[in-house]
Amino acid sequence: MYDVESKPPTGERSTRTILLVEDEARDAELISELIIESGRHGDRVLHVTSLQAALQTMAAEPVDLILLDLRLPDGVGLDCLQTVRQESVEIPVVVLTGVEDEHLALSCISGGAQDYLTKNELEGRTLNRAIAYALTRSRELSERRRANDLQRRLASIVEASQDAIVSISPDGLLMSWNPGAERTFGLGEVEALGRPFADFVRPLGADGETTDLSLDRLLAADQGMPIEMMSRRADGQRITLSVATCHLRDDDDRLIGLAAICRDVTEARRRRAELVQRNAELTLRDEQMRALTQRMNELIETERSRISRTVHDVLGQLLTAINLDLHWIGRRVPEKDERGIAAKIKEATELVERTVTEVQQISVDLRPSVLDSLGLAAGIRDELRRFQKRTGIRVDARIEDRASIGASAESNLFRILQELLTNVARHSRAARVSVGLVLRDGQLELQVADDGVGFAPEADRKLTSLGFLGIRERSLAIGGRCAIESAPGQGCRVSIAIPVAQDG
Amino acid sequence: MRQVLIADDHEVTRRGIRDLLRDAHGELVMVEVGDTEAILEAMKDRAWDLLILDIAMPGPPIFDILPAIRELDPEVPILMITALPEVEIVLRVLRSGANGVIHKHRAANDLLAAISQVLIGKTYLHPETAAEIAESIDQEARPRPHELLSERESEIFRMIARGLSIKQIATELTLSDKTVSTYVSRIREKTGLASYVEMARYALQNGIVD
Repeated sequence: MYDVESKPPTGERSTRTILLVEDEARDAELISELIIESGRHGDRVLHVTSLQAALQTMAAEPVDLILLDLRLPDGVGLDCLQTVRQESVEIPVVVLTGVEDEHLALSCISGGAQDYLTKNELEGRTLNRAIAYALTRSRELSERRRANDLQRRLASIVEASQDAIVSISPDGLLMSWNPGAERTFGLGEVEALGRPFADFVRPLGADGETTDLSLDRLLAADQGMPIEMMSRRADGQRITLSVATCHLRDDDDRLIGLAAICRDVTEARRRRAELVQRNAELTLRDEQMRALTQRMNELIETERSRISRTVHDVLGQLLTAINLDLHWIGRRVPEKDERGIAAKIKEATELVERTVTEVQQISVDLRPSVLDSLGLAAGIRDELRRFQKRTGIRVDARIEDRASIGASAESNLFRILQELLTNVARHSRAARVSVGLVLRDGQLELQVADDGVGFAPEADRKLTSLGFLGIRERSLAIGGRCAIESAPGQGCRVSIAIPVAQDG
Repeated sequence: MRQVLIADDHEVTRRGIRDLLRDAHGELVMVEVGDTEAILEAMKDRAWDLLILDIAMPGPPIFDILPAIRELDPEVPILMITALPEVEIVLRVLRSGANGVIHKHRAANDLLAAISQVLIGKTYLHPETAAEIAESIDQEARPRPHELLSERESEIFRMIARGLSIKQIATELTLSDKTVSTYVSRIREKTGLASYVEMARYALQNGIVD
């Protein structure tokens, strides 16, 4: 109990607004005076003379309490209270009744009024005590209502949750069991309550083994990361749970139990495991495809090499022989060459020479023999000479002849260079290209830089083109790293670095 | 010219060369071999006046065989004949000790001219080949005259640059004066450096001697 005059409860508005609904002017004046004089400093009385006016005021201003006369021009008796209560059930109402109308007064109390006062007994102390009590009771009521609401809401959440939400006593026994728990464990509330929580779950270790859930462990696991646990449903099915726990404490901070929220993650874990597996498969497939590509490339090189050699050896040599024979015949044409044999032989010789040049070209295009006989550096120098001659793009080269990276890697690097040069010739509109093959920090680095139009690497489709894809794949296949730098108007620079095996 | 070794693994090519030589030079001793090891065998067999060697043949690479030939006979003129169009190969055989290179498709017209060049101690390259070599892709990478020299030629070039006389060089390398003179004229031919003074200056400038 507290004294409203000296110690208002904290949080209460310091100014109370009291709505006085009273059509008799003398009564109204008296009541107002009693409130102002005996009540707390700063109380405000709003006086109206009809129910209609009361409703308008309630709608317009915050009102803390209503003093309601039951004989009004637009309403009499219980009706008055009901009209006001229809507008708001929150605002406490104290009714003012005539002499000895106890029966009506009691009806009003059961109809929702907080208190009643008989007009002829009115005095400051009674009035203000009635007001104070009415306010307190009304506040307690609405707090209780709010608490009940909250509890109902929480209960609904627990009821509706798909997760198992259970509470556990400090000695590890199940105290509550929601429908989610029933679904998760396949067991009804009646069978579950009172049994140890440890009967239902077993923590899963990093090694994949489960252990008994000790009480200590359970109590220690407060609001940390959810723990993975295994469980066996009543129907025998094994499930994986993610269990989060928190301590439950009373107002004096004593531990009264635990709440555990258990989420069935069996399906999620299975999907994750599947995903991991599929990723591993894809990675493996990737590696296999890469190895296959590499193998195909090697086969193509071998085949090209074979065709190149055959074309060169067989056709080239035969053509050479024909040429020599033509020459031999030419020297034996009689002085008097009436039939124009010499001229015809000269024509035939020229045809053979053109054919030889074509054959050589085909042979080199397939695979330059230098690659096999003299190695990568010589192959690159020759390729660059041909490129400069063919395209008119000036080549600056620094080709070091120092490191060997093996025939297969050399083939790949040579084909990468050809692809890069093709790009330069086709797209760059460059006037110069600089090519380097240098040994640096244990790596053989091929660099091709042009002064052409360039492109924006992140935006341009060029990087995802088959050409660049081929370059990247070839680089990867020989354990190299491929870096491409470019910007519009800034040319393009590609470098491929391949680790060189340190020999003895 | 009496004795010529023709090394080519293709009979038709050997026949063509044989016919050309016979037409121009009459009867000659012409021995034909078809792989690189047989060349070394033939070198031990007798002294040759001219070697006509294909570049791509069965057996160890010709680039390894040429220095071995030069060890056996530093003076014999070596004319390489090849169907391979690549410039790098031309450069490499010249560095390995050859005196001239002729491409097979030009053999019918130019073989005799090439032979007479190398026989008098000059280097033979077809003008087009020479132009291709000069097609520079890089100031540094362009073969400088001394890079065309074989190992033995380079050795003698350095000795000349250090101021040694032909006699001193001959003694040091246990070669005859005549052999050293042949080398020197070949060095002149390849580098285009006419006098000992020019050779010495070139060697200094290019860091060949300190």
